[in-house]
Amino acid sequence: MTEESSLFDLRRPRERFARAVNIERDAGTVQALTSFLPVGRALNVVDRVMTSLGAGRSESAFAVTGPYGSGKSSLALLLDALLAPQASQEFELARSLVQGASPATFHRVQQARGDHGAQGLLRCFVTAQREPVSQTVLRALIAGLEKVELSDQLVELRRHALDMRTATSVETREIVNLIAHVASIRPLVLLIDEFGKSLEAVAGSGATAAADLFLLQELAERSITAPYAVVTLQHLAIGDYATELGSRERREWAKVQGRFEELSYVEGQAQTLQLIAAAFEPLQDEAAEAAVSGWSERAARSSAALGLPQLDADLLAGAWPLHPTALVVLPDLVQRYGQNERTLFSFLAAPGTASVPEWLQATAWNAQEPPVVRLHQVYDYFVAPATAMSSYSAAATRWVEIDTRIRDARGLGESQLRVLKAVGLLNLVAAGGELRASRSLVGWAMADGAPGTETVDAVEQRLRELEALGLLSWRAFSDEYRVWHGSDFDLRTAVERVREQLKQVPVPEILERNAPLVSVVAARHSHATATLRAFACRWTSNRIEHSALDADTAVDGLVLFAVGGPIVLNAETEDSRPVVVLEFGEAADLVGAAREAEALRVLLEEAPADDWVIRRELAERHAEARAALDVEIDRNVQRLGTRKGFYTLEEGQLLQQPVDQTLSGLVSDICDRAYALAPVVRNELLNRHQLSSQAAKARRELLEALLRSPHRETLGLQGFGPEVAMYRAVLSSTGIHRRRSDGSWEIGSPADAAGESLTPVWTHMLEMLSSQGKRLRVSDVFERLAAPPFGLREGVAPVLLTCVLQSNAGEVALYEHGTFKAGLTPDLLERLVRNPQFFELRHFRADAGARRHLLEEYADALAHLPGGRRSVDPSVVGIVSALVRFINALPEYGRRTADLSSAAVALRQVVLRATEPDVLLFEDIPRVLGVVGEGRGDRTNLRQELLPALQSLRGAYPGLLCTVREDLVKATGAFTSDVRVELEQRADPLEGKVLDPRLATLVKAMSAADLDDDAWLEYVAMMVANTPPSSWRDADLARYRTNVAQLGAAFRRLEALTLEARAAANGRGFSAVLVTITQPDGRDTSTLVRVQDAHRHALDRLVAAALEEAQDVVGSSAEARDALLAVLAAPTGSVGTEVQDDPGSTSTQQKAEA
Amino acid sequence: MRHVCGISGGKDSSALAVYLRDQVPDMEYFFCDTGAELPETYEYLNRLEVVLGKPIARVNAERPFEHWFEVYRGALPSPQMRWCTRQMKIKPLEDWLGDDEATSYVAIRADEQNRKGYVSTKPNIKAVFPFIEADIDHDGVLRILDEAGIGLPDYYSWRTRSGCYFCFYQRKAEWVGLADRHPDLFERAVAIEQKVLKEAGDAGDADYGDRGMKSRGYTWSQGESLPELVGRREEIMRKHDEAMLRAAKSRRSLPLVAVLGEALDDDSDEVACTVCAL
Repeated sequence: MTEESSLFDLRRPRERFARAVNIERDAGTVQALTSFLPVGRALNVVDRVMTSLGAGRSESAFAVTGPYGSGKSSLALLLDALLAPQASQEFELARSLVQGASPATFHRVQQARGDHGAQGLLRCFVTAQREPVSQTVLRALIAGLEKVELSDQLVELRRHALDMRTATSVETREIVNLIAHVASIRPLVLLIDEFGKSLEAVAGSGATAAADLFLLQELAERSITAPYAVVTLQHLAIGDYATELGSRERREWAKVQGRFEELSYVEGQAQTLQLIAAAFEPLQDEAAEAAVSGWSERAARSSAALGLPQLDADLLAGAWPLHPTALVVLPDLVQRYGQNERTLFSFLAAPGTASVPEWLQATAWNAQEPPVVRLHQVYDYFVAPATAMSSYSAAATRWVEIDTRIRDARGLGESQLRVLKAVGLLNLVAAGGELRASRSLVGWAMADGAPGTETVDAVEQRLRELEALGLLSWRAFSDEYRVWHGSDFDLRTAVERVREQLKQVPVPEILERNAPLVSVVAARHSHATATLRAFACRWTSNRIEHSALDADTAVDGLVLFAVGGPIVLNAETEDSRPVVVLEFGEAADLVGAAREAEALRVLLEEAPADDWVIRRELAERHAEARAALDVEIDRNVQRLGTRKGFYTLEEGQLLQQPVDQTLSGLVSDICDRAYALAPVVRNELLNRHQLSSQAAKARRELLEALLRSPHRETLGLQGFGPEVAMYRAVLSSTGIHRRRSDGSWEIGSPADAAGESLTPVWTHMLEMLSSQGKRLRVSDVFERLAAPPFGLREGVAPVLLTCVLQSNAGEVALYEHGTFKAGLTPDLLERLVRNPQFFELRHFRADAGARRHLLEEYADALAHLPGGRRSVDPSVVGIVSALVRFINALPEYGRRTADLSSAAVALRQVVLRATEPDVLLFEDIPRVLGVVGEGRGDRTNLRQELLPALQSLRGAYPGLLCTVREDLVKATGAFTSDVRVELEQRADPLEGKVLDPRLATLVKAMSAADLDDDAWLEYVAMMVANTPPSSWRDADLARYRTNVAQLGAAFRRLEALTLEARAAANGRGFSAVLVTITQPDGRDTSTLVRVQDAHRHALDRLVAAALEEAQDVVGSSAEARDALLAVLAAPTGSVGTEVQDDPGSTSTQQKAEA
Repeated sequence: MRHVCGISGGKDSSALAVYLRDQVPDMEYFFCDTGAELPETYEYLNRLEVVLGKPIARVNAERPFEHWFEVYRGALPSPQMRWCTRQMKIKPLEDWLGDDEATSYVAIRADEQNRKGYVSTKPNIKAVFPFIEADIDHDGVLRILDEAGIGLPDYYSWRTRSGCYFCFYQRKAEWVGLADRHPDLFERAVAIEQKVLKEAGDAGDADYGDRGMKSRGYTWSQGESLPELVGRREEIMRKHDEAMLRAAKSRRSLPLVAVLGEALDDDSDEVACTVCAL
C-alpha cells in the first residue's frame, strides 16, 4: 500500500448499497436480498401484515412510515419474496433470513400463505407515480397478475382491469369489487412503494381528491371481508401530506389515516450504526487494517472521554473512514432531515458530489493518521444542497435558520467555514446533550491537520473568530456553540390556535382582508357611451345586510360576492345604483383557503419582529397560501356559470340573470339599462369623477370663460388646449353655446342631435330647481344627477350647472354659506366646484300681478340712477343682484355712515341683512320705505321713495369728500378755488423746516405728486386721520375735523414765521398778498405778491393819487377802487382778487369783485 | 423699464425703500395686502409713505385668504405647503407687473447673503440686491430707519417679523403676544387652526374639520394647538424673558429690537418666509 494510492482501493462500500432498490425492477432477484439485515422493525412489519392476512375478518391496511433511505424498499423486496412460490429461489432466501431471526414470525408467514403456498400469493407491488390513486392501484393489480400463471377466470379479470385503466372514468366501488374478486380466487397483497408521491398528487389535485381518498377508505374497509392486505410505504404520516389543505379536506384525510394502521419504520440508533458499519466491505490490506485498528482504539477512548461510550473500537473500525462524530450524527440526521435524493446509503455508497465514495477516490492513505470523513463533509452532503423543507415542524425551522446563516456568511476562510458547518450540523441533530457543539467536541472533530485546523488549539481559535464575527454564539452555561439562535415560536401549535380563533370571524371579513376584489369595468358600455363605468366588488355573507350595499360615490354599481349558502336579502337601500349578486354557495374550499391565508397573516403580525427565522418562514407560507386562495377564487368564479349564480338586486328582489356571459358583459348590460339617460360627453379628461390637476385647471379656464365672455365665439377660447377640447365636447357640439340668428352668441338648453343626450340631464336639473319652493343644496343636485338614470360625472356637473345658471340668470339665486350671492364670479365658482355642499340654489318663478309691478318699479328706479345700468332685468334675482351690487360697490364709508336720510339707512340695513331675495323685495324694502298701494294696476310710491334713498347712499362718499375739502380750506385759510395748487405752493417753502412729525406729514401729503385731485384729497385726509376716508366711520370724520383744524392752524403759524424769517434775512420788510384772478371762463390764476416795505410808501402815494382821479371818473371812492382793480387785473372780463395780508398770526381777508 | 420695490411692512424692506428714495426717482413702491396683516402694519405703511413722499401701491389679492382656505378645504398653509405666499403674494404681484420689464429691488441684507429672497422666475423681472452691493447689514438697516425718523413698526415690541396675523412662522412667544395685543385676531387664528372659518355667511361658520387631510392634525405652532400654547403662557414667557436676558448680556449696548430678535430665535430659528417678512 503506498501513500499515492486512493483510499478506494482499501475500502469500498458494498455493491448493493450503491444503488437504490426499485421494487418493480428488483423483485424476484436474489442479490438485493442477500445482505439484508433482518432487524427488529422489518420483522415487526412482516409480522403485522402476515398476521392480518392469516387471521381473516380484520382490517388489513398498513401505512409503513419511515425516513428516506431507511430501507423501506428492501423491506418490500423481503415481503415480495416471502409471498413468492414455494419453490422459488427468493422465497428460499427470505425464509432462511426470517426463520433465522424469528421463528414465530415465519410461522405467521406460513399461516398467511395457507393453501396457496405452492403458487404463492398475488404480489401486486408497484412504485407510486404522480397519478390518481385509482391508476396506481390498477397498475399494481395488473402487475401482480402478470407475474403468475393465470386461470381463465383471472385472465378475464385481468382484461377487466386493463379496460378500467384506460376508461375515462371508473367508479371507486368497481375497483374495490374487482380486487376483492381477484383476492377471493387468490389472496393478494397490494403494496405501493413511495406512496408519498400519490398522496402529494391527491393533495394537489383538488377535483379528483375526493374520489381518491374515498378509494383508499374503501380499500381499507373491504380488507375486513376480503382476503387481501394493503401496504403503503411513505416517509411522512398520511395526514402530514394534507397540511397545506383547508380544514374540511384535512378532516377527510384524517378519516383515511384512521383506516390505516400506521407502522413506524424507524431503527434505533444502535441498529443504524450497525447498518452503517455493515455498508462497507472489509479492509483490503493488512497493514492498513492494523493502522485503522490502532486509530479506532484511540478514537474509542476519546469518544468515551467525551461521553460517547456506544462507539466502541470494533464499530469505529467497521465504520472507518467515518470520524466518530460524523458517524454518530448520521442516524439522527437521516431520520429527521432525510430527503428523497440524499439518503444514508447514497451518502455511504453512491458516487456523487460530496459522497463518501467520491472522497475515498480523491483521498490518499496515511498510515500514521488514517484520513477520515468529518462533520463539515456530512453537512455538505445533506444540508447544503437541500431545498427548504416543507413542514411546520420545529426541525424544519431550525434547518432553515442554520442553513440560511451559513449560506449567507460572507468572507470566511476555508477553515472557518469548515468549523462553522461542523457546529451547524451538531446544532441540527442535538441541542444540549453529549452531541452538543462543545468546545472540546468540535476541537476533536475538526482538528484534521489541514491549514487553519491543524490542531485542537487552532480549531478553538477559529471558534473564537466565528464568535467575534457574530456567526456563533457561545452558551457558557451549557458549554455549547450555536449557529442556531433558535425560535421560541411554536409554529404548529400557533397555526392550530389561530385556525380555531378564526372560526369566530365572519368569512367575508377574512376574504376582504386576504383577497380584496378589484372593480369590474363595464367595458362594452363604457366604450359605447364614452363614460368609463365600473362596479365595486366586495365579499359579503349570503345574508346581505344594509352595510353590504353602502358604496363609494365614485362607483356606478356594486358586485357582491356572496359566500355561505343560499342568498338571504336582509336590507333595503335608497341607493338606486345597480347591484349584482354572485352566489358562491358554501364554497368550503374557498373559505378554507381564505382561513389558512388569514391564519398565516395573523401569525405574521404576531410573530416577534426580531425572530427573523419564523418571520421568513411565515412570509413564505403566507405567500403560498395567498396564491392558493387566488386559485380557489378563480375556480369558484368559473363554477358560477354552472351554478346559475348571477343575480341582480332590483327593487328589493333578486332576479336571476343569464349566465352565458362574462361578469363584465353582464355589468355592461346592466349599465345600458340603469344609465339610459346618461349624457354622452366625449372628453376623457372631463368626463370622470376625479379630475387630474391638468384637467381641473382646464375646467377652471372653461368656467371662467363661460362667465367672462359668454357672448363671444368659442367663449374667446383659442388654440388647442384641453379647455378648448372640453368646450367643444360639452358646449359647442351640444348646441348649448350657439350663434343666434342675429349673429351674437348665447348659452341655452342643449339643441341639435348631438346635444340630445344632454337634454334629460339639463331638463331634470331645471325641474329639480323649479319644483322646489325652497333652497336646494348644490351637492344634492350633483348627487341626484350622478345616480341612475343619469350617471353624470362630477367633472361635467359644474360645467352644466354653470350653463343652466347662465341661461336662467334672472330666475335662480345662488347662496354660499347661506348668504345670497349677486351673480356668478370666477372665485365663487372655484369654491363651488370644491365644496358644493356649502352652496344652495333657489328658483324664483317669473312673477305676475302685483309682484310683477313692484319688480318693474324697482327696475325703473335702478335704471334711473345716474351712472346706473340702462336696463335692469325685472326679475327677483336680477333686482336683488343689482341692489346687492349697488351696496357692495359703495365705499366702506357709504356702507357704514349714519349721516344719511333715515330711509337710506333703513334700506341699506335691510339689503345688507337680507337672506331671501323675495322677502327683501316684497316685504322688507316696502316696509322700511313706507310704500303704500297694492300695485295691481295702480302704481305704488316705491319708485319715488327708493330713488332718493339710493341717491343718498351713492352720494354719501362724494359728500364726505366735500366736507373734507371744506374743512381743509377752512383750516388752512385757503382762499383760492384751486385748493390743491395753492396748498402745494404754500407747502413748498415749508418742506424740511417742520419738526412736528404730524405737521410734517401734512406738508408732505400736500406736495404729493402723480395724483388726481380726488386722490390727492383722499391722500391728505388719510394722512390727517391715519385711515383712508373711503373706509372711515363717522368717528373718523370727527377726528379728521379736529386734527385738520389743529394742523391747519399750526400750518399757518409756521407759514407766517417762515415768511417773517425770510424777510428778516433779506434785511427788508415786506408783506405778501395772494392775488387770484378769475377769468370769465372760470379759470383762476393765483400769484403770491410780495410788497417790500421800502416800496410801500411810494406805491401808496401812487394809488392814492390814482384813486382820487378815478373817483372823478366813476363817482364814489368805493366804486373807484373796484374799477381800478378790474382794469389792473385783466384786459377784459371779471376780476376777482382775494388778498391775504401777511405777516400776521391772524389774517384779514379782503375780497373785491369787479 | 419699471423699477419696483416691495414693502412687506418689516424693517428691512422699509429701510430699503427709504434708502432708495433719492436714488431711483421713478420707483414704484408696492405692498401685497393679504387682508390679514396686523393693524400695526397698515399704520406703519402710512408713516412710511410720508417718508417716501409718495403713496405705496396696495396690491390686493383678488381672492383673499378665506377663498383659498375654502378651495384647499381647510388644509392650512405650512412651511411645506406655503400656498398663502404663492396665492396671496407672488401671484398678485406678477399680475400687477404683467409683462412689463421690471427691476425688482430685494431687501436681503449684507449679513444674510445666503438667504433666498423672492426672485421671480418670470423672465421680465430682474432682481437686484442694493443692501448686499452697499454692504448694509442689520445695524445699517436700523440706522437708516432711525435717521429717517420713522423707527420700527409698533409690533416690534412683541414680534420681529411682518406678515399675516396667523403666520405659522411665528414663534411661541409671538403667539402669546398676539393673544395679548389682538385677542380678536388670535381667536380667529384658533378657529382657522381647527379648520373653521368664522362667520362665513348667514349660515354661520364653515367647518372643514371632516374634510381632506383631517388626520394631519396640523397646528400653526409646532407640537401643540393654540389653546394649548396659550395654556402654557407663563412657561413660554418665562423662557422668553430668560432668553431676552441672555441675549442682552451676550453683547453690550444691543438695541432692544436685536435682543428681541435673538431671544425669539432661541425659540425657533426657522428662517421666516422671505416674501412676507423681509
